[in-house]
Formats: sequence, C-alpha cells, structure tokens
Amino acid sequence: MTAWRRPAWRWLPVSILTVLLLLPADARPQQRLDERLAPETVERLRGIAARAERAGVPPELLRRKAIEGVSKGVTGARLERALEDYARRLVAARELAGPDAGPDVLAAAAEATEAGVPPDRIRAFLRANPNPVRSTVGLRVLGDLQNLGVPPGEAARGVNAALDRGLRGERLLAVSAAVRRRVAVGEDPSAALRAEVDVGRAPADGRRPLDRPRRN
Amino acid sequence: MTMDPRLQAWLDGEVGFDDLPESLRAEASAWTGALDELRALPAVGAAPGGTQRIMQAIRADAAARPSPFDRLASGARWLARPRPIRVPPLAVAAALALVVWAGVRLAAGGPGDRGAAAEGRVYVQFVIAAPGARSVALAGDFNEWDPSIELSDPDMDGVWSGRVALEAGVHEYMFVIDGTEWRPDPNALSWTDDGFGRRNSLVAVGPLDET
Repeated sequence: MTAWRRPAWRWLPVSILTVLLLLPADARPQQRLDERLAPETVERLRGIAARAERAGVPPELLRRKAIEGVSKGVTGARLERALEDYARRLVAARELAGPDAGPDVLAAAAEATEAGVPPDRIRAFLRANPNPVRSTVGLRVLGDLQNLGVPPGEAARGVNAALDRGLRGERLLAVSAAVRRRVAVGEDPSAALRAEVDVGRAPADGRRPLDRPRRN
Repeated sequence: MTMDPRLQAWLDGEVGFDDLPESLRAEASAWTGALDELRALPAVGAAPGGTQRIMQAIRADAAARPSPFDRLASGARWLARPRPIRVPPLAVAAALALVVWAGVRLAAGGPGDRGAAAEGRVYVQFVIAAPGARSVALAGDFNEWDPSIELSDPDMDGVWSGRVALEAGVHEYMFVIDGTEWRPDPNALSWTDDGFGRRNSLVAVGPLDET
C-alpha cells in the first residue's frame, strides 16, 4: 500500500493504458504476421526485405505484400517464393525509376515490367510524367494495354494523349477497360486504343499532344 | 368570497347606513365593529432616520457589487492562477485514451471511417453482388489487407455496398465473402496478379483538384 502511494506508481495505469492504445495503430498487421507464420519464416522474410532494402527498395512494400499474403491465407514456402519474386521485380523497378521514385511508383513500375512493358518505355514514361499519382495510374494502364496486345510505343502515346486530355484517376483507368471491351469483340488493339483516346488529335488548348514532357 | 357591492359602496362612504337593505345591515354593523377595533390599536411610525439608513445601505450595496468587467477579470485571474487539482489517475488515463484514440483515428484517417471529412481523400463506393452471403467485407492495400471494412445490404437484395475514403493513387483490393472467400471485383476497371494465384482489383483515385 505504501508503494502505491508513491507518485510514480500512481501513473502506472496511465502509462499502461496509453501504450495499449497506441499499439493497435502499428502493431496489428505485424501481429498478424507473427501469429500466422513460423518464426523462421518471419526471419527469412526479414532477410528478403533487408536484401531488397540494400538495393533501394523500401521494406514497407515487402512488408505490405507479406501481410496481404498472410491475410489471404498464404504461408510458408509459397509466401517466401512470392516475396522473393516481388522483391526481384521491385529491385528492377528501382533501377528503372531512379532513386527518387516513391513506393507507389516503384510498385506500379514493377507491375508494368511484369506485364512486359519494355524498360526504356517505362523510363521514358516516368521522365515525361514526374507527378507520382499520374505516373502510378499511367503505368498500370500501360501494363494493361501491353497485356491486351497494344504495341509498347502506341500504348505509351495513347496514355500520354489521355493524360493530355485531362484524364485522371478512374477515368484514365477506364481507357484500358474500354480497350479491353473492344478487343473482346474482335477489334484490333491498336485501333481500339486510338478510338478511345483519339491519338493524334490536338488537345483543346492547341498544345502539341504526344511524347513531350509535361509539367506536373 | 365576493362582497356585496352595496356593502362595498357603504364602506367606501358612497351611501349611508340607512340606504342599505335590511339584509345587509347586520353585516355592516360587524364591519363597523372591526374597523373600530383597528382604529383602537396604537399607532406605529418609522424609526427616526430609518429611511435614510435604508437608502445608505442600498447605495453601499450597489457600490460594492462588481461591474461585468470586474467579474470577467476575476474569472480570468481564477483560470490563470495555478492551483492543485485532485484527479484520479484512472480519469487522466481515460482522458488521455480519448485524445490518443481521436488522434490515431485522425492521423490514420481510417478508410473505413465513413464519417470523417477526409481531407485530401476521395470517397469511393464499392459494390458487389453476392446473393446469399452472410457478410461481405472489403480488404485492400489501404487497410493493410484487413477484412475489417464491412459492406452492408440494407434492402437484402444481395447487393452489398460501402463507401471508403481513399488517397489519390492506385489501390488494390478484394472482397471477402463470409469471412473466408476472397473474391475480385467483377466490375473493376482493371485487375492485377497478386503473386499468390489470385487477381487483385484496381481502383484509381485522381487528386481532388483533378478528378
């Protein structure tokens, strides 16, 4: 009872409650990893993230992918393989995107690489579109168009033209969806893209439309 | 009880005793007796200087009463003056918890936080048809893939929906049916390989000033 009367002890419940409250904000996803994975798997995943970090990949991206896998019920060797593969693609994307690219751009560049967009096209696209939000969406659309069979050069011109016409966010992503619908009914992929973004037509303000750097 | 107006007129001296009807004369005589008794009481006057003393007291009281400005200044002094306050640590803990909880909610801007005015975020409506489902949740890179954002089907027609505030950029997500089945959005504009044998749906959010 005497010890309890000391001021330091009185503040113990305050400290405990505060710590408990702060924990869920950051600790819950990590807790999911620790609960569902064997300690040695966690250790190996840390190794993958550390190696990728040395190559300039934010470990946050790999941690997020690991949490996604665990949430979906993927564990053990399968999770490790997926993480290794993702880390490899991110390292390649870092080389393409340069040291200043943020995690989202890096992830989008990795997806575009996976879709088969040539590295020089990705590099040129990122140079022309330094705004991270635009380039992130644009790279996803580039990857989609590549998958749909649009030649890389035409795909890049199409996405740049769409950006020139002010298409952003969901409206930009809708370009690849519209091309997909046209291709599904037998239209030529390049013609479908041209029809959707009207490549070559000057934008309303009379600026030169294609393949020029934009100020973001 | 009301007095007969004729009796009242007699009391006021407007009519004479003889003018009263016979039926009221007994009552009038009783009033005369009562008034005589009152007149027989000794006279009581104000104490010498009493009025003056009362007025002085009133003036002194008015002068001593603080003006609104004085009251304000006094309130400010009370607030500014340090004073020991006795508060149970548990109450402090509860108050701290509330502040931290509010801070975390604001800072994280939880995408599931439908009531928050999400600054720099755009509300996106997610909809999926899942007839027969007991629950449908949303998980994505915006909530650490935690299927904690529950969609609702208020009219029980099998179409589940929910609104989530998202930051600008591309987001990957999936629906989780009945807590176990991960399902891509068939109405998404695009999908991507999730690396685990499934497809994540994509949603793109443009910056607020550009959408």
